[in-house]
Formats: sequence, structure tokens, C-alpha cells
Amino acid sequence: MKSIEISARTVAEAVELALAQLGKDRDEVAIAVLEPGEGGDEALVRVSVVDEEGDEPSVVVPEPSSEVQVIARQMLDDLLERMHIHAYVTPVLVRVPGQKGEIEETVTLHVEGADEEAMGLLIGRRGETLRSLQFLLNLLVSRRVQKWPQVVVDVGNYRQRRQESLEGLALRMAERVRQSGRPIMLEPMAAYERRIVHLALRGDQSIYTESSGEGENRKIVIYPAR
Amino acid sequence: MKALLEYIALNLVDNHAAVQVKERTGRFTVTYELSVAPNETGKVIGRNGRVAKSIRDLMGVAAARQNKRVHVDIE
Repeated sequence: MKSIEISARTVAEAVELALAQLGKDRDEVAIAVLEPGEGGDEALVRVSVVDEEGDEPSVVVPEPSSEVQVIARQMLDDLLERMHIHAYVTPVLVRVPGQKGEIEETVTLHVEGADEEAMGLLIGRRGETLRSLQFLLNLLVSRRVQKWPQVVVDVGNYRQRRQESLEGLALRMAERVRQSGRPIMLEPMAAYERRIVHLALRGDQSIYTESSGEGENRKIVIYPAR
Repeated sequence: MKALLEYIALNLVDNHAAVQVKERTGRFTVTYELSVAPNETGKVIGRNGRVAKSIRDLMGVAAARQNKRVHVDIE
């Protein structure tokens, strides 16, 4: 079985590069994520060509397939089709051992399409529509698999780009707080976006961050160090 | 648009026979009335209306693809 490992800025890019090198389509390969490429690290994936029939029998033990991955991908395809959006969905499965020795699965569905306007609609203002899509998809899948699945939906690498822009914003605002000595309140953000900002400024001793407000309105305040 | 709403609703509730989608077309806005079995309305509305909001967001995408606006009522 032919197999290559490739690193790139993101998983989606690494997969694209690997497919180009192998000259294969997505449905002809198996994709394993070795490094998810979070926190500024490079992503590393192994892409293996699935044996064509007639070849000698494969001795590689196949990864157990993921029920969540199959169902989630199908349902996302169904939703996109009914929205009249043409896009390719690339599922990427990450399995990590959980705290109790059970295996935790995260399925990321990368959506890519040529129609920029359609991709923008899917993301929505500040990623709001993307969050709704992801929430609803998890809900639909959960009814089939009788558990809460960890399905992440990303469109055109939006999540990575948003993370980078939030980190940039965090650093600029922290600098302004340092200069003025006065706190700055950021706009309301979702929990995982606030987390990105808190983490980006965690190592900075000259300021500290806190969240205030409730629910949809919860936002970060950056204060000068006491 | 109707197909999207029906797909979502049918995959959220158990009582498929009770799922009804009515469509009213205005000049600029299409209105859908979604009804499900009375004991299952919670499943299409969700806590704090989160499911309903998600449904409306996705319907908004489908409508925008046709340069229309959409309104979804859930009973």
C-alpha cells in the first residue's frame, strides 16, 4: 500500500498536497491525522492509497471505520444539497485515548467549494451560521448514534483563519492596554473564541484577562496588571 | 428550501406522520409553517430556542441562494 506523510500549515492543505502528489482522489485514499496542527504547529497527515482490487491482499490492518464519520458526512452532504450548495466534504478522523481509557473520536468535516459567495453564506457573520450548522449536524447525528458526537465543521479553513485573526486582535489590544493603563472590553464572542484570546495572552505578565456578561453577551475584558 | 426544512424536521422527531410543512410565498419573503407532534415541539425548538435558531440560519442560507428571504414559524 502506497503511503506518504506530508506536513503543511493546516490539515486541509496537507491533504490537498498529498492528493496532488499521489494523483489520487479523496475517495481513493485513507487519511490519518498524525498532528492536528493546532497552536501554530504544522499539521502532519499520512495519506495511504487504498488498494485497488486485483492487487495482492493487503497485510495492513485497516483502521476501524467510524460510524460517526460516515453518518456525519452523509448528513452534511444531504444538507448542502438541499441548500443548493456544491461543495466537497473531506472528513478527517482523530482518535485520542480519553481519561477512562476509552477512545475519543473527533470528526472534522472540511467543506470546500469554488463558489466563494456560497462559502461565505455558510460561514455567516462572525461564523454564526457555521456554528448553527455544526450544532444542528451534531444533533442530527446524535439521534442516529445515541451519543453526542464530536463533529467539527470547517468551511474553507475559516476556523484557522479566525483563530489567527483573534490572536492578532488580542495582541494589539493588550498593547493598547499596556500603553494607556486602562482596561479594554472586546466584543462578545463564543466560548471557544474567548478561549483563544485568553490563551493568546496567558503568558503576558503586564495584563490579565477576564470574561464578563452572560450568555450571548459574554465578552473579554483586558486589564492592566494590578 | 422546503426539502431542507423537511429533511431537518424528519431527522429531529420520531413521529414522522405528524410533520407538516406549509409554504406561503409573498413578494419578497417565503414563509414556512412547521408543525410536529405536540409532544415533540421541544425537539425542533431546543433549549433557549437554539435548535430553532439553527434551523432558521440554515433556511436563511437556502433562501439567500435564491435571492429570497425566509421566515420559519414553528408551532
